[in-house]
Amino acid sequence: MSGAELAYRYLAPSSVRRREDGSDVLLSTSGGVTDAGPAVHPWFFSGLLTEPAVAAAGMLACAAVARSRYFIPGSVLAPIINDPVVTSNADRLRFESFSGCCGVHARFDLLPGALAEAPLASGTTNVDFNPAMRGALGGVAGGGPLLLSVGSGEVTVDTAAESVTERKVPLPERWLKGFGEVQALAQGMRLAGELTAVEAHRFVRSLPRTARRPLWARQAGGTFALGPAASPGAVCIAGPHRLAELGPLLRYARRLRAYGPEVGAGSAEAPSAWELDLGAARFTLTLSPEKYRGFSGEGALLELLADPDVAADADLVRPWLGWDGLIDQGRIGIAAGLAGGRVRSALGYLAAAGRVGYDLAEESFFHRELPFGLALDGMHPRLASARELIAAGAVRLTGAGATVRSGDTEHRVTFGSAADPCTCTWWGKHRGARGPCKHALAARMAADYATRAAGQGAAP
Amino acid sequence: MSLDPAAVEAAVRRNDATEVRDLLRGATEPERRACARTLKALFDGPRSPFDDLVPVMLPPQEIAWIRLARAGRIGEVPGDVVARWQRAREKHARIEREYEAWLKIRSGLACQLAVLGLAGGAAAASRAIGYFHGSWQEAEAEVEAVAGVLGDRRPEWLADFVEGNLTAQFYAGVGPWPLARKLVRLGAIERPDVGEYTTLLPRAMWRTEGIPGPEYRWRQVKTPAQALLDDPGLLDDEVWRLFTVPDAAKELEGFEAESGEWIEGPVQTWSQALAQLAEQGHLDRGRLIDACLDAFTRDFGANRVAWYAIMHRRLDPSPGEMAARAGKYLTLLGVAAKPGVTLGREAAGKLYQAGLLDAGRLIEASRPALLFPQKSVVTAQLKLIGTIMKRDPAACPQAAAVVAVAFGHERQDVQEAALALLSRHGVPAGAPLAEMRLLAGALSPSLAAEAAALGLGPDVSAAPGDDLADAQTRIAALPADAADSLRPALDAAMSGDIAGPAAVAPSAGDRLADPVTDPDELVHLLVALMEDARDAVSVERAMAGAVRLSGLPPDQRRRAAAPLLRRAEALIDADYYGQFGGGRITADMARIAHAWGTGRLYGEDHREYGWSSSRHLFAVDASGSPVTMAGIFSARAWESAKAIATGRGGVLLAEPESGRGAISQDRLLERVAWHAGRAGAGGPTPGRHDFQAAVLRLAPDAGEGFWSGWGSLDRHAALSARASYRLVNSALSFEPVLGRPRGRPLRGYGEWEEQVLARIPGPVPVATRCPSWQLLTALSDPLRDHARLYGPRWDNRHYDASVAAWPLICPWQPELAAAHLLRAISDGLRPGPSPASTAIGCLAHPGHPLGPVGHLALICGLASGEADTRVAAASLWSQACADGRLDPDLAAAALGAVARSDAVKLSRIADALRRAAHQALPGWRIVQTVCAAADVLSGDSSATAPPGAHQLIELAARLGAEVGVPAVPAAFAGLAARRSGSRLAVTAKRLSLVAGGPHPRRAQAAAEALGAILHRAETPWLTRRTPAAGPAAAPAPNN
Repeated sequence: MSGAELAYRYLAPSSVRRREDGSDVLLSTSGGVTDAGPAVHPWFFSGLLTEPAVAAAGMLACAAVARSRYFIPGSVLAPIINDPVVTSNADRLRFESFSGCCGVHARFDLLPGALAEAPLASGTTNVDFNPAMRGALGGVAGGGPLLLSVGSGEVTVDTAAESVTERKVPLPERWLKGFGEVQALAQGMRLAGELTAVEAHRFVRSLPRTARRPLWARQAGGTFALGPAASPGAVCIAGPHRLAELGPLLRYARRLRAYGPEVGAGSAEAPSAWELDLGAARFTLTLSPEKYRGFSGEGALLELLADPDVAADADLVRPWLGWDGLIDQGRIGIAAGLAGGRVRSALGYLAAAGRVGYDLAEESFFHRELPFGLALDGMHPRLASARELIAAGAVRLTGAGATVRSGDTEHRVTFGSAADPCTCTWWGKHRGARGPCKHALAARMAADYATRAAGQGAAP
Repeated sequence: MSLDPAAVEAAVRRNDATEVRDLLRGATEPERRACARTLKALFDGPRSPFDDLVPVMLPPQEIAWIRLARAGRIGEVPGDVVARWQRAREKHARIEREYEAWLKIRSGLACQLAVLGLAGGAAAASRAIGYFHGSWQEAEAEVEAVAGVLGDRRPEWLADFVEGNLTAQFYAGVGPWPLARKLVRLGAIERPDVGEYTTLLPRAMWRTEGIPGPEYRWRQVKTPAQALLDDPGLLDDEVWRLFTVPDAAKELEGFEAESGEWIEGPVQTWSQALAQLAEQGHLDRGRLIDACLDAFTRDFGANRVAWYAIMHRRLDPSPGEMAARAGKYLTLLGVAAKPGVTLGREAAGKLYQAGLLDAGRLIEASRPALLFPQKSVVTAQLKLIGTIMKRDPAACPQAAAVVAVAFGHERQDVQEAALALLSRHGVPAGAPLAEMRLLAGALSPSLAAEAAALGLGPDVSAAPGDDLADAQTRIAALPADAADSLRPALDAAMSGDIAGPAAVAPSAGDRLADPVTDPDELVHLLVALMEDARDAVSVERAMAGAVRLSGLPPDQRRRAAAPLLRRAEALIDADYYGQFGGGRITADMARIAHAWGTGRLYGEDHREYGWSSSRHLFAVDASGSPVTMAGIFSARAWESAKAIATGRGGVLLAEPESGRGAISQDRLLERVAWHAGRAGAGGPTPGRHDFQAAVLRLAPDAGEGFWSGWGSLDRHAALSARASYRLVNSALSFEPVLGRPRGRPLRGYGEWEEQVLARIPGPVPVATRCPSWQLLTALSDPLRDHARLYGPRWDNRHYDASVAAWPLICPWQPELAAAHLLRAISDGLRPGPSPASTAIGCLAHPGHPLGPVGHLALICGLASGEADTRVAAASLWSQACADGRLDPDLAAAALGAVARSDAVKLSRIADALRRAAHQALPGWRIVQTVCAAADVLSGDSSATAPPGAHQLIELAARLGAEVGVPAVPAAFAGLAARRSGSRLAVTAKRLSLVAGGPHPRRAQAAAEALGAILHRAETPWLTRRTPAAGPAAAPAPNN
């Protein structure tokens, strides 16, 4: 997968046409899936937007994240994917992008109130955001009504060879994996605080431009007070410069909300999400726990993926997703014949596989299929290694834990605490903050198998 | 046609560039590859005479002969040696001659053309291009020749080669832009799709030549307009790219500035050139105006687009041209670049004055400009709206609603300007009052009365008792005597008085988890600490646990430690500092882990070999004594590792019992008794460094009973300990020292930056049996000893762990610990990695009182060059206010000590304090501190005010409006009385004005100050000097 490429093929470059009384924005599409199946150039929407300035600024902010690298390791200088992904969910459009450093995810949702007409079809596709179009899009804010087209029925007639835009960009495995994993991480976050428009303005402007170490923000009156260490109710801001794309949207903001996982004093760095409520639209930035570290290595899903039933549950759930903008887990549970917890696990699995996204404001998954051919197999080396350890009979359960032979070393895993301490270097370095090590994962899997086997043996 | 390598070689050797091009023209790629193989030796050349230079260690005899020869005594050198030297010299001279002859051929144009014409790919061609030595601006002939050869050949990698050249960070030889342009004109490549093809254009077309003379001056030999006309294709495409490619404007702006600085005579700038070409009809004027305006709405950096405004002014559009673009000008009011907003406002104002723009459109478009960060932009926009309100009363309701947007601006003077505008015109009937009242909620409290007068005021009444109701309940729940002592403070708070700082003495702190007695727990601790040892308490627990469990059978220890031995060896091998060098605590932990698992000290002999040149890096000397602060822990670690390796088990006297590293008298007696019980049976004896650490950590007030108890167990040790104990608990005083340390800096090059340190004036009690104390108190000349005591700290990433251990060394001398933490904090005064944030964190424990040095460290942390350290210091300020440790008088004294230092920027302190003032009490302490430092901040007769002082006074004024001002100091009153528009005077006036109230958060500040005192009364471990009783020390196994 590491050598994979994504081939874009747009029938024509996306463009902005200025009319006397407004602007037409045509976003060319390439590939993806619709409710009717795979499509080469899907057509999702054609209609007026109720708040053109907000829409233009939101789309530009989303595109800016796609073109950004907030941390550049010397070894990674290959071109990155510049074009956002658009999902049409029957009543809303969602633009998503993922930074080249794999540490920032952006999503701009045009909610039902922002669209004068409902989308024509549902699905997910890549959209072209070329420099000329971006430049022109910046100028539509004050230019009257905005007619947006995501795909077009007309461009199919304009297939002269010279108008076709083709690009190939590498698809690094960690980028793909992070894009999926960020959704699954989002479902573990809770609202940590909320600011009004004026407070949001002041807070974002007061953020330091650079910070070597992660900062923690905790709601204190009309702002988020910054601190150097985690405390209950705080959210992590690793690399405050990564929130820069909130800036151009602040003038339209009504609220700024911060989300993060539950933390306590001494907690390790954690991901966070920052959502601007723009009225009929929302812009959400999700930051990785450290600025030089992407989402791909978080390992938050490993225990979920290690569950032998979850893949099968996901297969049961997937047909019922139905391109819903807000997935009703109860309905799906009934339809698929699964209990609530298993539906949630299956959705987490599907999120990691790029099949669903997570909407923090609505506390709900939504259906979208990333148009990158994402496959979970082989993307989690720790999980693969744990399976190999079990297959090789390297795990021996010892009651309160297990011993796991890895090479010529026998590691000890102790069950009971949240992080399942192990004697390996990985655990020493991360102490559970990036998920279990392969030994702890193998030990848990082995214990789970043993429990199931005992249960089956005891069954009448 | 067949390519003849011999003919190419002959032409290369003759440096006949024309012949080379003729020979290569029409050659096929296979022919070129074959020819390249044949000529490889010619192109690669002989070996360089410098290739063979290797450092050698000469035998002493040879060195002696060389010295003789240098002294002119060659006759005393044996003849065969002289002959050998002669042969070597001749050989080297021959190699040099051959190499220089080849270099002459290789750097000839013909050879370069041949290499390019035969290169197998873009990378090889890029290497070849670097051999050109001419100035690329002047070497048009070379460009012509190179482009000709490449144009004849047109390899498939040509576009990659050109783009690679354009984007290379450094380049030599033929200029990348002229070559790219030439190839574009030849049709050999499409226009390169990289930004540099545009951003390098202004420099490439800027034709100047040096004027002979002593001064560095130039003159323009061709105007940019003429240069563009000489290459007309540029006017169709490349010129327009200057408006769509990021950073092109930054380049162009550079030439606007450069023209007057270095160049003599008439100069045409780029903006003048484009305006001239538009005037002459070579460029579309309308398109140029549009391009300028559109550039501001592109996703360019806000500080890199000013040239477009310059260009626009140069074009000087007519009212008709502007009216046609009114929408674009209004859009500019919402862009992020100040020049763009300014351009939009000026144009919109002109259009409005000329009756070409509707007032309503202009007012509505003004909203984003009223939240622009810079005050000048907002006030200018307010002025324009004021003009509209004056001229067009019908627009007033809408204008008033928009003006209220500026209430949300973070600057109070902007809010004042918005209120003043509304005061002048009044809030007109029909204005959306509800919306405006909502926006008025963001106004500074000091403006609440003004807003209320306009009918926009929020409710400023605050019930003083509300904030204190909780405190009353908590006081009632305390024991009677404690409650009685707090009641006067409660009464004072009820009447609006804000209590001062609490009386804080060092406390033992919270009790630690039980000692490590389980081998598995020890192994898990060591595994983690070998990777990250910043948790100093865990480091101490693990070390004590390893000593305690070293008495286990060797097989059991080896089995338990087996998973971490290999990693430990790798960490030890990678430790640049050597055995217990003090640089990496992780490596120290690896050594302890290894010793515990194997019963031997791994790599103990490393220090003996090859490290003599690094001796200055050691934190522990050969005898095992510490020589730097970091060495105090490493010396103990080394001593413990030796004890562990003996496998006899034991207990460390100095194992901390509390979070601040303290140990109680009872626990110490137990440990002494444990050792005494085994003294006769060959049991382990306490190490000297362990003994010293225990004395430094022993809770104060050890009485006669304690010493007699110890004396009954070990009389000699008790006498020694008692003598040291008395000395290490002596009262110390400190004073700040500013200056550059002596010697070489520990990071970077050149000289030390100015540091803020603390010194102990006068004599310090000498505890000869406690070298750690001697090291800690070696502060008579901290500038002289700074490098020695602070270092080694080359490896910033690991030094945090060393610094984190310092407060545990002397928990009962918090100022002494702060004096050493100040080194790390001072290190962070300039940007760059440093352990400053960690050092600030070391002062965070509420049981660590902040004295003069602690406050000095806090102020230096607030002034740090790194934002995360400032955030940490701001957090410490808030926390120290909340737990009663922050003393505004001490903070003011510290501020006064450093205010005039080159190393400390008051603007950074103001920035950090702004972050600390989310609660009322920290805000009040800031106001108190600024007022207490008024003499320094306002400047006295002998000196002007330090730069940035007005920012602190402005902050105090803003906060004072909320919580009040103690009493306006005379210095500020004097400033406020001046008829001056200086920022200092204006902010002083503002502070004086807000002193009168109302102060809506004063009651809250009073409640928080009372809460700080109450919190101490409610938290026993904050006042206890002896660690809370825990389980007895676990016995060492097998002992």
